[in-house]
Formats: sequence, C-alpha cells, structure tokens
Amino acid sequence: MEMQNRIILGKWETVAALVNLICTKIFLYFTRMMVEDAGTAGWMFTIFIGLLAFFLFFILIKLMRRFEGKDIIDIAEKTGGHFLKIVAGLVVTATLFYISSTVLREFVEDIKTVTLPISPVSYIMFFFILGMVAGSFLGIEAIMRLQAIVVPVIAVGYIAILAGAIPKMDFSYMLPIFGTAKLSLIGTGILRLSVFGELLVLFLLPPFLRGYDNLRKAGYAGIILSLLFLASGSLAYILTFPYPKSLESFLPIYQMARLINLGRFFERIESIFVFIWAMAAFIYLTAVFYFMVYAFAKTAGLKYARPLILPFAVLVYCAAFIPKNIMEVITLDTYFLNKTAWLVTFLFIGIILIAANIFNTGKGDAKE
Amino acid sequence: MKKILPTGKLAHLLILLSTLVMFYGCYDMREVDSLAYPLAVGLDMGETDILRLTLQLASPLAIGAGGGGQSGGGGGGGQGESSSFITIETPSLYSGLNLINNILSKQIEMSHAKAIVFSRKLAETGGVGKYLHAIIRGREFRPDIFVLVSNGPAEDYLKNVKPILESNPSKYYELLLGKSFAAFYPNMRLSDFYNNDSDFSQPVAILADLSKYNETEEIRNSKSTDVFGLEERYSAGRFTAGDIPIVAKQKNEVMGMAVFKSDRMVGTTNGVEAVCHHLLRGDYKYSYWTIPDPYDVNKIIVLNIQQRKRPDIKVKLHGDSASINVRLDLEGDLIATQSHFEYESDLGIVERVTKELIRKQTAAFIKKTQDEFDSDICGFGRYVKGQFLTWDSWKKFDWFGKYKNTPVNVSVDFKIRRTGLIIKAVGGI
Repeated sequence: MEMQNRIILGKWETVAALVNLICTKIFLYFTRMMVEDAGTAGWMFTIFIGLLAFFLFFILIKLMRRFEGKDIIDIAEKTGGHFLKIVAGLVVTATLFYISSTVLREFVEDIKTVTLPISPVSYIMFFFILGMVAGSFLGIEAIMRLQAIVVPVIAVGYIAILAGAIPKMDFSYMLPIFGTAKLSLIGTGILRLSVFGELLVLFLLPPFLRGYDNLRKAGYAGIILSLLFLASGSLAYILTFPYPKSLESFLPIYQMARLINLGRFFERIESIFVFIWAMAAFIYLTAVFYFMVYAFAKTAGLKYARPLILPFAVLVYCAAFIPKNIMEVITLDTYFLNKTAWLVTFLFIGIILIAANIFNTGKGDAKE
Repeated sequence: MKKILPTGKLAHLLILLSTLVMFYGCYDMREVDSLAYPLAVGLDMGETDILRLTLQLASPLAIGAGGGGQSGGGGGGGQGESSSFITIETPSLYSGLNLINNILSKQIEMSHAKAIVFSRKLAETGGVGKYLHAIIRGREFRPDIFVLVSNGPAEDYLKNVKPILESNPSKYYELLLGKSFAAFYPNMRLSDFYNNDSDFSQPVAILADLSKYNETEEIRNSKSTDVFGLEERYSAGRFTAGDIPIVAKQKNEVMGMAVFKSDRMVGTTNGVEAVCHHLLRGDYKYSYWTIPDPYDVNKIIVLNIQQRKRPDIKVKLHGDSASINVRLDLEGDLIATQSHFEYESDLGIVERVTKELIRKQTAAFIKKTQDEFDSDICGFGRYVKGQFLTWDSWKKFDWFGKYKNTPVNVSVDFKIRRTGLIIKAVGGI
C-alpha cells in the first residue's frame, strides 16, 4: 500500500477508533439486544461479555508478540504462504464488507425513520457512501486523526444523554437482579463476543503503530473504554425502560434522548443525539470501508488501493439494498453478525496466530 | 499525464456547490408556515365510525399577537382565537389525520401536541391501548404529552380550554399539568403512562372535566360540601374534576385520577387520593393540608406538608403471598391556626393528629385500589419483584392476582419544622 510505511498512528488515535468501531452499535440496537438476551440483567451480561473479550484479547495479543509490525495478513503469509494469505485476506475483507453493507443499510433506515421519512433510501445512502468514499480517498491518517477528534465529542454527547435521562430512571427496573438468567446464557455470551468483532481492525493496524507495546496498550484501553460505554448504556437503558417494555424500542438511546425534559427549555434533546449519531455513523462506516479496501488490496498484492475505492463503494451500495426491510436488516445484524463475528475476530485470528507461533519458530521474526 | 479533472481549490469549490444544490430541495423539506400544529388531541367513541377525533389547532398569528404568552392579549380574544378545532369521525387516529388534510391547507404536524384527552366512555369501554400503541410507534408524537381522561366528551372538554392568563394554549397545558406543586392530580405524561402499564404497576391518568357551576348561587344550591365527614369536610382535595365549587370564566378543570387496569379505565379518585398516590409513589413535592383543630372541631389548622424522602416500602414474602409495610417520612410548616391555643409550644399534638389523618387516608386509598379497582397503581409490585432473583420466578408469583389480598400496613413519620413568621400566638385578632 502506498505511503503506509511513512504513516505512524498514535495510541490515542487507535484507542478512539476502536472505541468508535465497537461502541457505535450502542446507538443502534446494542442495549435492546442485551435485554433480549438477559432481561433486567442485561448490564451484567454486557460486563460478562466484555471480560470474556478482554481475556481472549489477552491471549491473542500474547500470540502476536513475536510478529511486531506485522498485520494478520502478513502473519498468515509468513505461516502458510500465499494460500493462507489469500484466505486470511478474503475472510477479513468479506467480514468487513458484510459489516459495512449491513450497518450502512441499518443507519440509513434509522435516519429515514427518525428524521427523513419522505426521502428515498437510495438518496440518503448516497450521502453516506459519499462520506465513506471521500474519507477513504483521504486515507488512513485522515480517518484515524478524525476519530481522535470526533470520538471525544461523541462521548460527551452520549454521556449527556445518559445524564439527562437520570430523572426518568427507576432502580426497581433492574430487578429481579438476575433477569432472565439461564445456564444457556454462558453459551450466548460466547456468541455475543461478536459485539467486540470490530477488534478485527486492530489486527490490521500493526504496520501503522510504533511497536508491539503500543498495539497491546491500545487494544487493552480500547476494550476497557468500550466496555465502560457499553455497560453504562446498557444499565441506563434498563433503568429507564421497564422490562419487558424495553424489548420494544427500535433505537434505544434515541428513545432515551426523547424522554429528556429538563424544565420548559431543555426539551427535544434528541437533536443532539441525531448529530452525534450521524458523526459516529460516518466515521464508523468510513473506517470499516477503508480497512475493507485496504485488506483486499493487500491480499491481492496491489500497490495502490485507491482505484478499488469506487468499485467497492458501488458493491457496498448495491449489497446494502439486498435486505427487504428493516426487520431483515435487524435480523442480519443482531441475530447473524452479532452471533458470528467472534468466529473471525477471535477463532480465525486465534488459529492463524497459534499456527504462526508453532510454525515460525526461528529467531529474529520481530526484526523481519 | 494530462489533467482531466479539476484539482485543488477548484475541486473543493465544485464539491461544495454540488452539495448546496443537492440539499436545497431535500425530499423532507417542510416550511414552518406550511404546517398545522395540533396542541391537543381528543379521542372519543365515534357514532358513525369507530373513533371521534378532535384536534385543537394552534393559530400562530393569534398566539403571537397575544404577546408571546402573556396575558395582555386577553386569551386570544382580541386578535382572534388562539386555537381552532376540528372534529372528525374516523376508523383510526392516522386515517383521521389523513382526512383532515382534505380540508386543511397545511400539513398536520403532531410534534407540538401537549395533551391527549380520552373520553371516559372510550377509556372504560374500548380501552386506550390500541391508540397509545399507534401514538408511541409514531415519531411525531412526543413522549412528554400529558394523558388526560375527560368525564364528558373529549371534544367538549377541548373546546372549553380557553386560558385566562395565557394566550398560548400550549404553554397553558405545560404550566397547568406539569407543575410540580400540584398534588391533587398526577403529573402523568405519555411515557410514564405507557411504562406504568407493566407486570408490576398499573397506570393512572389526569382526571378532567368541565365545571358545572356558572354562578355562585348554583354552588350554594348544590350543597356540595354537606356530603362529607368532618376530616373530608376540611380537605380541599375531596372533589373530583367537575365538582370543584368554583365559578370562573375558564370552565375546564383537572382534579383526581382516572385509574386504569392495564389499558382499561376502572374508576376515579378524588384529589386527596391523588395526593396519597403521590406520597406512595414518592413524587409528592408539597401542598397545603387542612386538618381539624384538635381542641375545637369547628376550627382548622393549615400545614404546608413536604415529603422528606421517598417512602420506605418493605416487602416480606410468606410462601406464596406477600405483606407490605409502608413508612412515609414527611415534614411540614405551620401555616395557619384559627383557635387561640398556643400550638407553637406544643407541636406534638398537631403532629400526632396530622400523622393519624395521613395514615388513615393513605390506608383507605390503598384499600380502595385493592377492593374497588384491584389495580396496583401505587406500584408496590416494583418492590415485590425485588424479592425474586429471576424474571421467571417473579412471573410465576402472579403479583396482580395476589394484590387484592395483600396486607399493606402504613405508618407515617411527621415533624413540624417551622411555624412561619409567628413563634407564639397571643390571641386577639
């Protein structure tokens, strides 16, 4: 890829990107999904998933220690030659393609429902695609620097919404404390590791980071901060809407923002929500889209990724129209992506890393 | 390679200009003056169709002419009415809005609606759930709309909303129904009403009606105060909406609660019972209480009573049943005494009488919710479900099936903190 060797990303930029990539789903469906899984104990379930993800990341990052400066595609190539490189690259590309097209459609449908009910889906989607293409043309540095600037703004807006909804919260809503707890929740928890599926992007970042330590620290910080946001959102939602009414909300955090009514002058706070939501959506989709193009270009051994941006944009745009309606998009996202993404991020990457550690026993891997 | 596409500043300028062109005619563009804003929605049983829908539409020019909501304009009288009304018979709320668009030049926009009024007939027979679902699902209705039940037709109630001190009916609704110090009716908004219809609580709505008195003579003839006992006789909250002995230009009034069991109305309460409801839900702020003088039954003592903290509600499970202990923690200020007894030096007796009065009224109110309504509008279920570890075990307990026979004990802590500007009544005037 052009320029990549000259671009160095900071820790904060990486952490901000991870937080945005993992947490954007709070604005869509995450809190409702946790309530669907565990009822009033959704917040505890979130913490369980987060701790599980942290533990698995701890193992994966240990396995990466010997491959400083190499991303997962490089490691796959080193371990299994071109074949494994192509397999790994295509799996990563396909996963990011699926995420970008599904989430793009979901955001567009949400925008249509909430603010632009008359505008055609194609028209709204065009502006998202425009942002994704423009961001990708500007490259990884612009995308990541923007994350570093915008994520704090989004975080402040998000915290303001949670704080504003405090008067509407009722602690009795979180009872019974163990919710719909069943033993099968442990199995569901493993599937829901997919919530942290976007950690996949971190395994493409080592060439842009200054050393293994930065990668490790950014990963840990990203997971911890994400867990904080996810758990606080989940808890706030559970305290605001009684179960099982909390299963109804289409856009949980938006519904919370609509409830904010502080005197006669602080009403209609959801306009802030739409603003931060659109910002989060744009930088999320742009980052996922860029890394998809980047992964494909690297897999194909192309020197330049830019010529791929427009063709991939057309593909994503078309694929986003495949779901017939909003319910199908939610099913694809909640019941498929959020139950299977762990297979790529934790299992597939884990297998490659274990194989890499077994087969690459020679010294000096790091220096290479 | 020869450049065929513009670059640099020119490219940026072209992109900006193309964006402007794309945005100016956005599909969802709606001008403020092309919209009609209903301030209140009335729903009633239809005669020729399922539903009778009434909209109170804002007349922005008249409201503006009233001086931005101040009284100078005289309630929209001088510069024309501040609102106008449309009533239509329709199969559903949204099809009604569709039909209204056949006569109005402007498009209906519900995002400024402040109140939804159900007629008692509709609330009792048809239930309000199906309409509320439609409202909750719609993005235009806001969750902070007040929910009222009118004893008479909703149409009549809305048509009589003619604020005296406000030229803006929207502000009138917000100030009247949203005030924190009003204890005789609930501060019930759509989101609260909807969320209270749950597995552990039941909803209430604001009870509304038109005053039946036009002249003070009519109040005298009605002898409305004769039907009450001594303690109630002195209580300002003993009335329900429509019964308040008041003569005013403004005919609409709110007092008491409409009690629901799930989405169906099952009864009403008076203002005192609404106060008890506030106390038990923990959202009571303060109000004046009139109690009989302990030493002279013909005289009264007035107290300003506040809730010091949320009620302490303890639940005990006894196998397949529960018992509940409620402790209310209140404090108050002495506002007025009519007898010459020096209560300032013996506040204990006033505290004891007040405690007992509040305890009796609260216990009677709870009993009424059990025997007459069989509806847990106080939300005791919120505390009962805390005794269970999982949702399944809570559901199996069947709280609503047991509520009627659950013993509830009420105790009250009450302290008088201040005595106003007088610390010792010495008699005379």
